[in-house]
Amino acid sequence: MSAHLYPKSYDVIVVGAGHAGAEAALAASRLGCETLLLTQNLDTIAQMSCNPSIGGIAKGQMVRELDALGGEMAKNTDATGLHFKTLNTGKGAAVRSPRAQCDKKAYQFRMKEVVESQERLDVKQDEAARAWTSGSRVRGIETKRGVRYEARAVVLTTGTFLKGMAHVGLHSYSGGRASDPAAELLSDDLRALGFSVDRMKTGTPMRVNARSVDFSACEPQPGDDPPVPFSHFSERIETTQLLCWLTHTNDLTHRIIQDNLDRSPLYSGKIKSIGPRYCPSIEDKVVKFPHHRRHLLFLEPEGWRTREIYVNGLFTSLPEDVQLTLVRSIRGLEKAELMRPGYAIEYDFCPPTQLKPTLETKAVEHLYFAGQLNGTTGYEEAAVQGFVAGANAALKLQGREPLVFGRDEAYIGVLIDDLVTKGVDEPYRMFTARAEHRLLLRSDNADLRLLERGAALGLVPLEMRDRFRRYRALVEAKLAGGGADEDEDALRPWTLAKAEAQAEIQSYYAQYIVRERRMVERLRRLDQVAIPESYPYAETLGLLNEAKQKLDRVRPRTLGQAARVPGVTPADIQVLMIQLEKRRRSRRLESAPACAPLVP
Amino acid sequence: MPNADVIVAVSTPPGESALGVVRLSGSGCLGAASRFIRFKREPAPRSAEFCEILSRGETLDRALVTFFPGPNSYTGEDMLEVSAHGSPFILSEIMREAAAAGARPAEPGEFTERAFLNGRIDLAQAEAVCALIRSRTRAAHRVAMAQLDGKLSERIRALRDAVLGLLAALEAQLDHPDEEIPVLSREDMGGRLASLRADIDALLSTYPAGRVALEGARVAILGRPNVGKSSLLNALLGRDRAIVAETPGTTRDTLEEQADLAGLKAVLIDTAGLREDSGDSIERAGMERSRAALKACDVALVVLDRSRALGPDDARLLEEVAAAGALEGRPILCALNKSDLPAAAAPDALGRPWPAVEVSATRGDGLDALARAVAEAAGGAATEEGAVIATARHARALESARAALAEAAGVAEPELAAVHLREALLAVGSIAGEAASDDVLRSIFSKFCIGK
Repeated sequence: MSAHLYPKSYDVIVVGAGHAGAEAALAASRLGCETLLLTQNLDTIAQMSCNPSIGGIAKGQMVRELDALGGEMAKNTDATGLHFKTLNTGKGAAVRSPRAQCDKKAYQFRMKEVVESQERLDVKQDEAARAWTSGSRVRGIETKRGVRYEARAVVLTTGTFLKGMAHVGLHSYSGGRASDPAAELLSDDLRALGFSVDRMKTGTPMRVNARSVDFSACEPQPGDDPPVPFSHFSERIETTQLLCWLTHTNDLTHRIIQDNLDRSPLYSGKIKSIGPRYCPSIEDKVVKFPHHRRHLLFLEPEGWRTREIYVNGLFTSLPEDVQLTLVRSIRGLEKAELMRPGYAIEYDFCPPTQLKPTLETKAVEHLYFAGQLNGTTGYEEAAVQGFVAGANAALKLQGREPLVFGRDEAYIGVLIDDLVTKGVDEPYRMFTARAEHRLLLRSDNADLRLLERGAALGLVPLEMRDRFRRYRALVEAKLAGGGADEDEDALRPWTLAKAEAQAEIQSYYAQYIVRERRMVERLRRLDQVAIPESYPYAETLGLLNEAKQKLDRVRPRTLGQAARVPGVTPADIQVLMIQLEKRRRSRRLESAPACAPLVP
Repeated sequence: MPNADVIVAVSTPPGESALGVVRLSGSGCLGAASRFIRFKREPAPRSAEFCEILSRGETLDRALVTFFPGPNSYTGEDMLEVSAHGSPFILSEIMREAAAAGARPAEPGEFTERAFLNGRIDLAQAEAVCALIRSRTRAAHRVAMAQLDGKLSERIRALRDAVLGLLAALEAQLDHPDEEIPVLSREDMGGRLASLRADIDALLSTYPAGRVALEGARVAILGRPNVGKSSLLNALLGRDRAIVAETPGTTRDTLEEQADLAGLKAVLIDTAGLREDSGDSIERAGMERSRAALKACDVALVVLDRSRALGPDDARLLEEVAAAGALEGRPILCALNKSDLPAAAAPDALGRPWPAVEVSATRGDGLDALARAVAEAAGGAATEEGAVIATARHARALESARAALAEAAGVAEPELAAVHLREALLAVGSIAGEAASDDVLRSIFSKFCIGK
């Protein structure tokens, strides 16, 4: 197949138009880069392949962070949400998280419209087959149809599509999603470029028809009234709100699963990849927690104009006939009609320790990875990575400061630091427990933490920033005991009530926030000691071999990051600290022989 | 380093001396110092200026002040060095003024830590530091290994697992509200926290004995005036360290010296003689210190003059020592001094079950026996069965873990209790060296640079 070179040369190409790809393409083009978004299928942009839901514990905080930085996910959710609920309302503000069920098609269509309307962004349908590189630098993408697109930077967001393999019972077939073809070529090319590639697994439950569900036997789960918007920039939710429903598995359900484990690809040994511990299949739940007599199931409508119901909690890859029997053993679902079976999917991912904190690959300059390709699970985890990768691709081309967040600044920072420092041994999902500074990283202060950075990037309009600054000043005044009330119109979409509530939350946590800040300052000191990219760990005296190997693989950028690499001990860090200082010192002596006198 | 606050410390050893040096470091140090130092002009870099030092608006001292602008200073930050007269009062007043001007007392080793973080420690120093750290680590390592082979590691691991279990239960509630996770009741949580604290208390109770084994025993030499305490100190040291005179009450202040007592590392503390009827206020102050030394020692060595019959004063002294000893559970023994003179008091006249050794500080008789007795008394306390806490770092870690657990018991909100449990986990984990390395580094910096 002879490749032809596309006449237009791009700054950034984003491969894949899922939740990561859409944010990456929007960030890059909004930062001024000529951008190409390449997708296998223009009709599945921002597809909700699994749960029709955005947010949840810790994930909701990330969506709010992304919003404060100028990302699209929160706005898209507000425009298409049909059920909004704040989780953990019984607990403190620090652990409250917004979550919304969306109309899955409306969500897609709105995002499709946003990306297709975006200036400087071309959206095209084709499959990336090869990364076009010269030396250790990326030059573009070659597609399956034989087109070469030239670009100065490339962001890969391939989701579950690389050599995707779907399993329903013992029947398996190639596919990136239930009925979409897998991308068979790209991961071999990544291997050829020297990347290590591994396998992971995830799954999705069945969908049933609402007409066949007896909702009177289920417990209604109303959303918040009024629904609270995700985005800082939305004033209210104007969409029609729908109910979700609660039911349970029972002894009979569990018996059906036990009796059919030999036909489960998970338990027959057919699937060997590691699945998420935190989003386990119902088979796993029944086998690993036999003392649980029942498990909660949430029935979630997938849209206003579809009768499909997502059976949240029944992640399974059992054969279709077993899925039907087990669904029908559940109260309210006795006559349920399956519309699509649940299935498991295996796919290729690249262990993320091959990345820098900007999500640029260490091996190929200007090549970035984001989303499930990095071993994460979840739309939110994908979206924030897409944003960071797309923004950094653009910023590097423009010679601007990279976008990297501290673990104390954002869940986004926790996520990426965990990925590039610790790597993943199962699909990575965010939890508040992963953050050392949970009380600082709240949903309610995402704007206070990050909006200025979004504005500095140019992704939050200055007019909005000014309104935000008035809000921030008001919160500070209220905390100081004053706070002459502002004109509410000058604050919108922020409000007086919000400022009042924010001041209350801050004073509630004041003592603890001081403590956490103190801890942050202490931890930061190690993060200020930089390690050169080419540091020769192998030759460092005093380091244990295990530490040498691990540090060499991760190549941390700071002493703080090195300390977080699993298997590296405090003693290794002390050695490293002294050796670094010696190196630095001897280098300076070379360049400046006249050394300033030391004061004892 | 950006945002480093101004730190201040007295850099010379405590006590009176000709000069006393106070150092400040941090980007605002000159501004802070201007609040209590009267500069005649803008201070020139690295050049000593004779300045007036003010305290509460009045002249406190006239001193040499040198300004070292960053980055070419010891710490790499702006620094100021004040060489004042070495009166503890003047130095403490300067410290107070500096604190009022916004400076924070430096933590041990913090100047050196900053020097390192700012890249100011040179090659030779770094190598010296490296060697020092290694030797420290090897010694510490030996102790740690000995403990890890025994029961301490087991106890610490069990403690850590229990805290982790509790934390995990809380975290699960916070992160999985949609799952049917059994809620940990406050009573249940309170009970588990209380039993954890009891475990920590039990471990901490082994610290005094453990510390003696590692760091040496503090031996307070106590007694009535003129029984020969200072003579005994000199005799045990083998040199004339303390002034000895016929006049009762010659020793006014406590005096500490390290000695090797039959292989046991000991710190001998000579004290002012205790009597009821001193009208001298200085002598009374000295006696207060003697009593403080009694409270803070590992072994109380009571010196009696066996050439004189024991009187009611001796009885009172023995009673006081016995009471303090019983309170802290510390060993007590007696030196029956002046064995070169005719005896007027027999050992059994004490009426106490303490070991008693007859010595003559002037002739040197019985000193070896006394040294062995002291070593045995101190060492006997250290050979306890089971896990022993031997280092101050471990004891501090356990103390902060205990405090964090107490705080966790005091809050109802799970996200706040989690903060305290994380602190406790960090503290317990730091014993095995698995927690934030920053703490470990800090403790190292505070060790290798004594005197800031």
